Amino acid sequence: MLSRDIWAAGSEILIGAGSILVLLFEVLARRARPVWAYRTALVSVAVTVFLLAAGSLGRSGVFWHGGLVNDPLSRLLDIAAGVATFLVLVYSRPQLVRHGLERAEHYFLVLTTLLGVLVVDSGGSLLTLYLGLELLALSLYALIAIDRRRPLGAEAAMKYFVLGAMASALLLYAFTFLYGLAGSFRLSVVARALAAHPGSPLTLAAVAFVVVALAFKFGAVPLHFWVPDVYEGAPTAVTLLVGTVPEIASIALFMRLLGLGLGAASGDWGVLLMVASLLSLLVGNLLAVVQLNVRRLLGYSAVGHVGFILLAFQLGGRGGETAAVYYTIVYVFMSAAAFGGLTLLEARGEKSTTLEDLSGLARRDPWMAFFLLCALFSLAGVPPFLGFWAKLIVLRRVIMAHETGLAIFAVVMAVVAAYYYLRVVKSMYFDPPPAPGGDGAAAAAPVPVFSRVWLGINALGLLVLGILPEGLWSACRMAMSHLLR
Amino acid sequence: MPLFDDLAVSAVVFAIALAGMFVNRKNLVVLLMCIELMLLAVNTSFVAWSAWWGGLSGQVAVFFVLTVAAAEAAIGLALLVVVFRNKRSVDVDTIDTLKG
Repeated sequence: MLSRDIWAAGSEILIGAGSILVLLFEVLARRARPVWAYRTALVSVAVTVFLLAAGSLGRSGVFWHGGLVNDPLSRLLDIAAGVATFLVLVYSRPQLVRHGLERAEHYFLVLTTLLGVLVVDSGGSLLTLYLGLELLALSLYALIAIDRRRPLGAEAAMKYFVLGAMASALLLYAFTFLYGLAGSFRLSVVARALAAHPGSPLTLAAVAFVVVALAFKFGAVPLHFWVPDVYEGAPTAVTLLVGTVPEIASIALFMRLLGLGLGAASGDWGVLLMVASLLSLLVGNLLAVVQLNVRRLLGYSAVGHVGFILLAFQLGGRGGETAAVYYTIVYVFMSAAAFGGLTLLEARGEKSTTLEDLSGLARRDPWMAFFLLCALFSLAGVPPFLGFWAKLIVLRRVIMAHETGLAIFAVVMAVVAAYYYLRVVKSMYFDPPPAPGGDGAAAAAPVPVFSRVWLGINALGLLVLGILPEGLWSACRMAMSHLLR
Repeated sequence: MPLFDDLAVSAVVFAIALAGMFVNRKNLVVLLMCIELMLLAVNTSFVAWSAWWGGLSGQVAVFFVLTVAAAEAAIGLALLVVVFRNKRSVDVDTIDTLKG
């Protein structure tokens, strides 16, 4: 029985094996260059994504006493996380090489981050969800501080660690309440127990703690303050990772834990999430306007996007949740293109910290400027791009739920967001370069064609999928209509 | 009523740890201790519920939580060393370059 069911965890096993292989390179073949660790990581991620997409990793079902769920949603999120990790690896290597940070440990930690996301995606019990979340978080803490000479990185990692560990402990304490109610860690049993005891004080305490912990993990106001700090403090290649792959785990956690496990208490968490969503839209977008540091700007804008995702999720019901999953997947690839562009600029030997560093980029490197333009337009929600459809679907759901006031507020905040994204575009296309004579261009080293081509595929993909939006949307709807727990 | 007593102990310990994180404005090491204390309170709660239900799964969960707590302590102390090397201090007040 075990031998056949083991492939239900096929993606986790493959990535786990890949990460161990990467670590063995470092231990056994110290003289081997880290590029082999990079290639191993890339191949294991690519193989996993390919097998998942081909549908050859296990059948749908609930395995191991509910510990692991293999359903279309877990496969969709696994594929999204795998593709995003592949892009992150491809974008980050040139920058790591240039700044002397390329070591096998980096790739190992990226793979364990992905492994944590995969475990959360298919978590069918409270314990699996917790273990996946911790694997993800512990890998990120180490990655943020991996550049030991950078004081900002150590500081950001320490702050993120203390607050993240506190959020995890709150989540775990809520799990003990749920376990006390249900007598089991299985989400299906927890859901039944909650439906049987509506509104008990234990349920309310558990819901409150869970929402606080999840809001922290997603970076929603009022627990957002780590987001800009980590985005600024981490090395750029790590910011690229933090801003993309973990978001998939966050939405998976919302879906599995709140949607499927605590669905009976949706009236209680819906209100809390609505407040968090409105505050995130307001604070994230308004504070992004005053940022001069591009990474802090993207950090606050990430908070604003989380506001949109929670706005869809708090509606409850499959429709809103599908819109939230769709928005998250779209956001991850927009964010990957934006941070990927900044990372590759640093690999060229340019700075990409402030708005001034980016000015005149269109003259120095027209293609790179165009790719960043695609990412920023998509993040702003300009019509032919994919980001427009994500916003439209969320707003349609909100209006269908007769919450027109919320929809109007979200649109106003989207307009504010368009202002600061377009300011970056203006700086790239219409401002003169920082130092006339172009010392940036003189110091520029060529970026490997491989990375540039993938950035192009990512950025143009946002445009092409925006023109043909049906495929991804129907994939999300299909995944959300065959949920297991 | 043993369940209630056990849960009360767990809640009090958890509250002490949580209060410690907000009251303590001096030392990062104390913050790490508070985190460990929170996880121990959680373990007490798991064991209490497990005994009440008469099952073992809550007690098995304790081993997982202990393992994660050990990994968390290892990473937390490693970060502490990195912070100390950069700042020559483990005061909470010194890590204020980044303004959330």
